[in-house]
Amino acid sequence: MALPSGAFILIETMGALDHPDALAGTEIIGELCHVSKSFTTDGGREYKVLDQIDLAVKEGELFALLGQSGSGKSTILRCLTGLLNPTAGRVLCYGKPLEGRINPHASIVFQTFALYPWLTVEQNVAVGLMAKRLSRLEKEAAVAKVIELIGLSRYHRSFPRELSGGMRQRVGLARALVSEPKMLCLDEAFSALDVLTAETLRHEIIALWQKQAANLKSIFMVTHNIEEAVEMATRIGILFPRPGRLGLILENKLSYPRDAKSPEFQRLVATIHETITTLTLPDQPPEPPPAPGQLVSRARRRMESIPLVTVGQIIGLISILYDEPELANIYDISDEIEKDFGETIAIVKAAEILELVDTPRNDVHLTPLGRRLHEGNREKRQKIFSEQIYKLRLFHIILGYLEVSEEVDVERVLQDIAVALPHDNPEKVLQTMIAWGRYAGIMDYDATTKTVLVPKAVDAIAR
Amino acid sequence: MGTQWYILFNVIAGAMAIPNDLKEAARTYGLRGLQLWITLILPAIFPFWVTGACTAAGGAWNASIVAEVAVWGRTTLTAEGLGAFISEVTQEGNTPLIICGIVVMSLFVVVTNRLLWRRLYGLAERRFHLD
Repeated sequence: MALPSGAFILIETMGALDHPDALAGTEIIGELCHVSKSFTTDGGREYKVLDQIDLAVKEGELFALLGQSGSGKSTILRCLTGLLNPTAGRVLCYGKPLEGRINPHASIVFQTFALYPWLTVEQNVAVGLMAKRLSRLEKEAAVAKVIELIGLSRYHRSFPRELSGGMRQRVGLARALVSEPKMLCLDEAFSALDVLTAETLRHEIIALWQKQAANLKSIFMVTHNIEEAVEMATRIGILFPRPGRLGLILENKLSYPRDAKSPEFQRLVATIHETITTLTLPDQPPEPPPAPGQLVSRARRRMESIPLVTVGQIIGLISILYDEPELANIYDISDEIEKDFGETIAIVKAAEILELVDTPRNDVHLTPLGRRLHEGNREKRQKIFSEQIYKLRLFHIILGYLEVSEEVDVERVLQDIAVALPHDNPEKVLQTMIAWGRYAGIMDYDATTKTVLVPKAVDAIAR
Repeated sequence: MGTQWYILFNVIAGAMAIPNDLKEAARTYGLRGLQLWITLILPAIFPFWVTGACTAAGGAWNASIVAEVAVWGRTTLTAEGLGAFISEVTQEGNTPLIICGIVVMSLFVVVTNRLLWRRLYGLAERRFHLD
């Protein structure tokens, strides 16, 4: 995908890329310095989720970290609040290293609310003060005050299960605010709520932050929802996955309340869309034509990971594009299939790798091959899939083994994938590869022996 | 005594099933020691304890018949109790007394079920159930 020439100029006029000096004098509540974080999979393999993240949350700002699921945004939030220790790098709180402690100035509102079902609303809110050294009267007064502030007065003796999702999240918010933290962290706090409830709660949280209720200075939120970030944040960081790294930070100076229909709002949303697409679906120089003869040389030279999407999703995308040729823009497609932008991009990228679609700029067009795939029957589709998969170098990790023997141990394949793609979770990549390979009829998987094998009799189709 | 393992294993399963977000919330708000046990761990494992204790009690009735009379070669050890009674009358072949013993035992079981286990189950379901 070509870089839209206007994109970065637009960002500059919106307040430019982040210049730390410009905000000198403002206190930094929480800061990540060169933070990296690795996790270990169930199989004991290590993979890097965050790579060299530098990020600072300043007093007075509302910072939104935007990223697809799996990009490591929740990991960043957990590092910043001290719930997780980074593998490398430092976490600072007002300039002092956190060193494995919980950040005393931060509190979290969870996506799943994380309320204790056996406690009443009042008791749940009081949990936020439980570890604080205050007298009982002081605690009771603080709880009563915040319950009033969040509008839960009528419900203070209810149990969470008696409340709607929106009310439950208010309890989560009250619990987070009762200790008067400087920084409120929202971990996808609105994504479990219905659209209208989420909208109301967003407005209320912005209002709380604006009037610095409960001494609240800053909000740090992670979300996958672009509109949500643009609606709320003063600064937006875009996180790119595998391994998670901050691609871009932009300022959002639109005045509150923000109107999602206004042209400025839409322009900023479009800029973010474009940036994500540009960086996720880059226009790469064409591969040299494959040399005839040898099987392996049919593969492209580049070792490229594959998006973790199902064959059904790819074929679904192709049929939608076929049936509705006027649907060309990625954003419209993501509206149409009711997936969020990140997921849509992943499906488009998978289709692009298989050469079923072409993605000039932000558009998605069916290639003649994609057209043939849609028109073809099951066998034809299988043939196209297997031919395209043979072009993917990643698959030759398995296909290479299957050339010389009937089956190969999953462990060996996983090791090779881990070496080839150090930033991916090899088990998930292999799952997807096997799913695609099975559909294409070029490999099979035996769960009892944990081996990938040459499928019986259908072998000929691929050759 | 031998049936207490049911409780232990159930409680371990319960402790492992505590959702991560509830643990993270507890850590964020700095809960430690007794506070952590009272706020999170004990309530969360309560339903598992009830299941374990109920199963253990059922098993104990079973075991009582076998265990209250122990015969080892010529030595016979007898504990006082309903289980021993049923065992003895079975040895003697006294049918009316066997029936009588079993009826009394069943009555015991039904009454404790009604009065104790059902209430505890209800409480676990209403109050301590994790969605």
